[in-house]
Amino acid sequence: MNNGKELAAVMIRQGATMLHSPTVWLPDELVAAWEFKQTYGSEASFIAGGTLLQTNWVKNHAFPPHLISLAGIKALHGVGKELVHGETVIRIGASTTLQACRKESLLVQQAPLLEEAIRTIAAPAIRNRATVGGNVGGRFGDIIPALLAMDASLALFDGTDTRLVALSDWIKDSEPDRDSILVYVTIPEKSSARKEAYFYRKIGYRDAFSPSIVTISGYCYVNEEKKIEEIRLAVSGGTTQPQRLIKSEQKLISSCLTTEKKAIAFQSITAEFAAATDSFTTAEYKKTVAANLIISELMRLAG
Amino acid sequence: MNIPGQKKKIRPDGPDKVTGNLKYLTDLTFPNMLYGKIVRSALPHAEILSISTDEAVKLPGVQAVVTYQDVPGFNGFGIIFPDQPVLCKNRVRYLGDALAAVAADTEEIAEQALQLIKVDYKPLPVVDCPEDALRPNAPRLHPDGNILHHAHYQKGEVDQSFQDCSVIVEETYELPRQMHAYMETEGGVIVPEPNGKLTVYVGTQHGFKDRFQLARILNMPETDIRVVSSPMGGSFGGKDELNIQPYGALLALATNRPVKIHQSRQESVRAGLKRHPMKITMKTGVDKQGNLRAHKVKIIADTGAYATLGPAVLDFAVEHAPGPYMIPHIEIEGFSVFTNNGVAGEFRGFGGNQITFALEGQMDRLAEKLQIDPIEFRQKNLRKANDPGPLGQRIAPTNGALEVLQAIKQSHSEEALVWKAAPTEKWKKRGTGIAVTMHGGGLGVDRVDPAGGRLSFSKEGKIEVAFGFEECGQGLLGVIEALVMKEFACEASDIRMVIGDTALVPVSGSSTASRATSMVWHALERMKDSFRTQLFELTQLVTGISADQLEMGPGGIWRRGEATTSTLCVSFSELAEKMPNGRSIHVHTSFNFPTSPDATVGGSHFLYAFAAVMAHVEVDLLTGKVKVCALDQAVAAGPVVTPLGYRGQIEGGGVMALGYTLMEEAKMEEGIYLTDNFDSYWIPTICDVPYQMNVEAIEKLIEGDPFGPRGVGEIGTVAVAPAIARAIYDATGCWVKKLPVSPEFLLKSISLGEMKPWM
Ligand SMILES: Cc1cc2nc3c(=O)[nH]c(=O)nc-3n(C[C@H](O)[C@H](O)[C@H](O)COP(=O)(O)OP(=O)(O)OC[C@H]3O[C@@H](n4cnc5c(N)ncnc54)[C@H](O)[C@@H]3O)c2cc1C
Repeated sequence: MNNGKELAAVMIRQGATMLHSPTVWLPDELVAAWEFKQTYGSEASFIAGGTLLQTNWVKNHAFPPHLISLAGIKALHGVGKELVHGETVIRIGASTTLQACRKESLLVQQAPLLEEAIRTIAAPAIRNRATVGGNVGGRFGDIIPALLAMDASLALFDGTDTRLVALSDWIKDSEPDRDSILVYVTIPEKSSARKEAYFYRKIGYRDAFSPSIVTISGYCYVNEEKKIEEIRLAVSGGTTQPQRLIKSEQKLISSCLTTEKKAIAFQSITAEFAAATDSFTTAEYKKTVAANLIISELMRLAG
Repeated sequence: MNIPGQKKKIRPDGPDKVTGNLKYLTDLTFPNMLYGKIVRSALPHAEILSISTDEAVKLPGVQAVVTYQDVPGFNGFGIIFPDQPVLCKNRVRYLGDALAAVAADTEEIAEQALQLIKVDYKPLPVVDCPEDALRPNAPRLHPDGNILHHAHYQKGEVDQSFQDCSVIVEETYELPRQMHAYMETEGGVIVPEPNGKLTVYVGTQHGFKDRFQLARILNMPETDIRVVSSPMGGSFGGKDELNIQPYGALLALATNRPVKIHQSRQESVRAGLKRHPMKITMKTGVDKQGNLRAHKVKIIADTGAYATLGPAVLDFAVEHAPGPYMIPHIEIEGFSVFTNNGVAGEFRGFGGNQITFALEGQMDRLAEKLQIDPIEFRQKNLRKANDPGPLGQRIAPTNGALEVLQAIKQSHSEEALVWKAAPTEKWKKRGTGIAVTMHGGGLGVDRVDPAGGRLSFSKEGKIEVAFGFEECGQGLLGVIEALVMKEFACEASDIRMVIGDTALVPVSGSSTASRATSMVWHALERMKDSFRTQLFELTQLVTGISADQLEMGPGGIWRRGEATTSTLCVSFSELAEKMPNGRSIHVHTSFNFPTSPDATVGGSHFLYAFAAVMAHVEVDLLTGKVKVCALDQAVAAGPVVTPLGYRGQIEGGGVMALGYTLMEEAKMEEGIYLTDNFDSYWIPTICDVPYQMNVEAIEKLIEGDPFGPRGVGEIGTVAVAPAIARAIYDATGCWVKKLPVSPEFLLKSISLGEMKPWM
């Protein structure tokens, strides 16, 4: 290997049952990181802040023999504006920590929904290490519904190119592509114009520092005739993959939020949200809460 | 908090704790120290066919592996019945059962060695609920069957008197398995001493009891074992029983090297004690005027695999089933039942929390049926100052019940109405509720419950005060310091406190059952005069000033009436220096915790504390989530010793009970924990706690009461859940009978009417 430096294995404490410590690779170029992954395949995992992976090790889940740290790759850093296909977007580097997002004035002004979502995630010590890339890369992260509401896209590096994929398409892949590297996330700049049209609610087991039971987020723009002109609805929670509620959006678009529509929306959301029952809450509860919260937010915006 | 005339005082162990300077026993290291790990059962119920340690022994770095064959003495422990094997031989009864222990050069090697120990099991059917355990064909978990303890109390003619009642409420309440969730998990270091003796540096709530149990296991004289048991990062009852001590001791003896064991959180969850889950059925009747007439109670407690203090917890629940109410006809029956679940045992509140939730639930349902205000209904039926205790026994006269109820009514009823009526966010409903309780202190009648202490004047000129109690975070050191300072008008720097070390302290009994503060006060009362007299005599000898002219004060002995206005007669240090050779001042006392002179039921109490709670809640109609917005308590427990300590106990207890009410449950399925760490077992964070909590201390005792401060270690946890439950009813019209309150249940039951037009 050329671009990597091998670290002393003691750097990272292994899971309790592991007999051998992993090797940590520290590439400083995207290509090198990608090559490491090609070389070691399922024996390797990318690691950013390590906060999500660490929870897996504590639970004695398999611990890969090779860890490829993304921390040293410059392309993953930074927040700024950029022109993509003639449209200005806000670009958030995958290595940006959650805490840094809250401090970054561009994001605070243009994407306050992100800060609203991040505020509900974990605790300060974790937010200082946890990254946007890891939150999205983990596939269950609480910023995903907010990013869906903001119509975000992901810039993914596949060894040669960095291509943009709509987040709403990416989450549909049931077989996640573990080789691509998330370089940055983009949010259309125009989304900042109607800040008040966004909403985000996370329901946990307690009021702070809790995983999500149900998270909902959305965007709903209502025109002068009180008709819903644009709408995006997203849900996730606990062990449930984040989802755009496309069918429910279609039922609501171009219409007023009448009592009848609300009933239709309730039906549609509970049907469309693929929530699962776990040891602590039933799917039925998650669906009901998601529908209740979304409709109450829509009533605030379009009622 | 309304404690007039007392200034806030920083507790002596506070600064070191908040700065992280304090060394807990799990922080200790010794030269040549090994690390110990314990193999726990892979199955909740099984026969052990074989245990093979050959591979583990061969692993480089492993210094010893012990199994049941290596227990030199009695292979069992348990404070009441030693029915839990130290190391299992042919059967495991829960996932926390230990099969082997390893000592190795590093924790990692010890961990690897665990994987190499092979145990062959023959699985047995798992008994995971007490109702199943009581069935005639259930597998027998212990030689005497599955009932650990059966308790019964009867007075009057219950069944008959229900016929005269105009309103009867019958309900079954379900209470969860709560975890103590102390910050410091079980652990410490066990050190073999050169002369064949052993020092055990492991937190516990009763050093002498650990010493007794360890001596039995190790087949050693008690005097060869020293237990250093303090400080601890929390216990709440959870470290009262032995935990890792036997394994550390066996390994230390096997290797002749110090051995450290410190359980991970998962190990702690798996092996540690929990609060008893209980199912309580109550049938309670009143006459037309709202007087309580009959009360029939059945308690089924899931005590898990072994006894520990299970029988005593059940007795406590039985005793407190009538609470502070006067009811002529009573029948109470309780069963503590073995299962293959985690062991349930001692936990702050000790059965009182479960029974009070049910009892106060009954009071609220009855008041509602009678259409009487809940406070008024309670007041009508409450005990008076000279009434007997809950099981008819004579108790120290007290008007606490009425006083706390009135205090809550006066300071909070109006405020509650205003708060409830104020406009809220859309989709939120508000409600308020109250509850009352009484809670016995000490172990109770017919139980060995010794207390004692020692006061000495040390060579360094300190007032040395020694107790066999432990500091588990409850503020014991603050209590001792405050009481000694008050009694002898001295300064904190004049005092040396000695606790938690069997080599240095007298027998004082356990740091449990809200007894330590009370017993420190009693001991000082017994020792103070003699100590003072001896000090004055010494001063007279040294200074020539007549003893009757003297008084104690800051830094030393002063002329009477002149303390701090003139100069010292003699400082403590000078007095110590000039103490003639061979002379010393030591005052000892030993006595028993006061008990009722005529109690007939073992474990019933004589001294009680009282609390009334007012809760405000907001229920979210979209999610069913409950937010506690206020949690105020009025407590009658005699004089306040340290205001911050008192407040800390009541507020902290309140928060612990808030968790019990709304989120905490150590869930098990077929004998396996679903909540094996803090990422699924939720305790409240500061965001779940009301912004401000008021604590009102009623210090007044009945005139002539000679018993001083009662403990407040538990009382703040007891009446919180029923107050919150009543507030939820007030907000939503929905009676909660199962804890923790399920948002899902509330969401399903709330009648939303026009609130949710889309449904
Ligand atoms: C106590 C605790 C509480 C938590 N609470 C929450 C919570 O409330 N809400 C929440 O959403 N999360 C929570 N988490 C999970 C986690 O902290 C966050 O999701 C965090 O954002 C993950 O970021 P990370 O950089 O630490 O990811 P890592 O752990 O480093 O990685 C997570 C995953 O993403 C992959 N990955 C990382 N970066 C990239 C990249 N650039 N390209 C491709 N794949 C990548 C990794 O391979 C891995 O599979 C919590 C974690 C802990 C320990």
